[in-house]
Amino acid sequence: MIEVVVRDAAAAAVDVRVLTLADPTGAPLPPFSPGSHVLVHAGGVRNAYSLCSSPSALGSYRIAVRLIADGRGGSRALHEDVAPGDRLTIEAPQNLFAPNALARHHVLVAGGIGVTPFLAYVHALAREGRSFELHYAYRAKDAAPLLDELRTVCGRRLHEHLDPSGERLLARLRDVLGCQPLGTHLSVCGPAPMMSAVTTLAGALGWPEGRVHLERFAPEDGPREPFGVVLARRGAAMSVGAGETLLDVLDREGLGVPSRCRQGVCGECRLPVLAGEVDHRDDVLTPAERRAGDVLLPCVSRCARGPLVLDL
Amino acid sequence: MAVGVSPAHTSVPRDGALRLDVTGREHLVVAEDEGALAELDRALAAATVGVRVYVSGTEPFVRAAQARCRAAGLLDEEVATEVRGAAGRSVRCVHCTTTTTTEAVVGDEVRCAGCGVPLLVYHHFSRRHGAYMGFRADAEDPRA
Repeated sequence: MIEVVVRDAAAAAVDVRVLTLADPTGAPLPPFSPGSHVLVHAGGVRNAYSLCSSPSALGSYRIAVRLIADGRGGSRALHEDVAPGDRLTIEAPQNLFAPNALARHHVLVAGGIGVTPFLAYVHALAREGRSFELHYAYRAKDAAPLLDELRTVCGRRLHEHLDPSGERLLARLRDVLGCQPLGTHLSVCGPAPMMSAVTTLAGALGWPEGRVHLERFAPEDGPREPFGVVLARRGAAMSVGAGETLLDVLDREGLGVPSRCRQGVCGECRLPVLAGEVDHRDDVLTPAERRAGDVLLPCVSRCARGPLVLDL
Repeated sequence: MAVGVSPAHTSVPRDGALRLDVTGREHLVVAEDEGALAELDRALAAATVGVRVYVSGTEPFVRAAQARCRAAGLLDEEVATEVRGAAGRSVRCVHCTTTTTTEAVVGDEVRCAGCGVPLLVYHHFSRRHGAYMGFRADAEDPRA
């Protein structure tokens, strides 16, 4: 846990507020690598936010918070209840989206608020003199946070796509991904449909999985139907409502399942499954693990054919 | 092989039979031949992401080709290998850096072609050099 003070808070785009966080005594904050996120405690929940400042400027961290109107309240609290001078609790940076250290060239693809981890990337890559290009698609100019800074840091390496449908971005990537030198890595962060379209395109152009890196901000979409769960060891049955997750229910029952990101990216809450068919919606399990069907991430995954029997 | 070390947990390379990787966009087949490595280098310089490389030949040839693919920026999953023909492997002496080609297997001893030291062929394989590490077999014997 790190106590920080909000040094600055400013609207950076429609529904996006950028917060600058610093140590209350002015000491440097812990170092982080590009692509890192911090968990921020606000509104009674912990949300993960990418650090979108330079990893070599540790006098402060910066996060860009998009308001999720129908979310669990974390982003609303950071938008409405937090002012400069306030204290916040965050957890030390963790990285699930670090740049590949052996890459000869980085193709970075961002959609909307998904640009935040790439701010840290481009600061670090530009400083180290490494080769990269950033393709940034946004709905409208006023929906693109920190655009001026990106332009300054990237120069001609920034390719902007004013592209509400995402079609122009894909058309451009069809050319870009078809002619990259060996050793290039592709990193993508943005809305789920964009990420799956880019992944599919890269696969069709012969990019192996090991060259394609994804950072999801939101769990995979899909209808959230209620489903039943059986805890085999306790002999207990319970139900998960449409508006809640399995992890919410396990928390409410006081089962003490460890959790961290609560959005299917960290893998902390992984649980063994004995029976039932899982509707996997995480970004942690490998395709083989998904097929085996004996483990799930209760923070996002649901039930395809129930009841789910857990080894709890 | 050192007692208690499973090959699965070492850097000892594993090969298979060559099979077409249908996820690739371009396919480069490398068969052992004089000049094949130089030709591979030229082809890799022109290649783009999406290429798959298939290497077939004796073990030293396959390892040398793999090292070049790796140096060019390819991932292991983009390079398929098949070892055939005469037995033999490359062992790199940690004392004088000479590479010796030998039929000795991991755990055997071989005399270094460079400095003449008896080398233990160790289960550490350098992908960069395309060779097994060899070190003085009696290195821990104080009487040697």
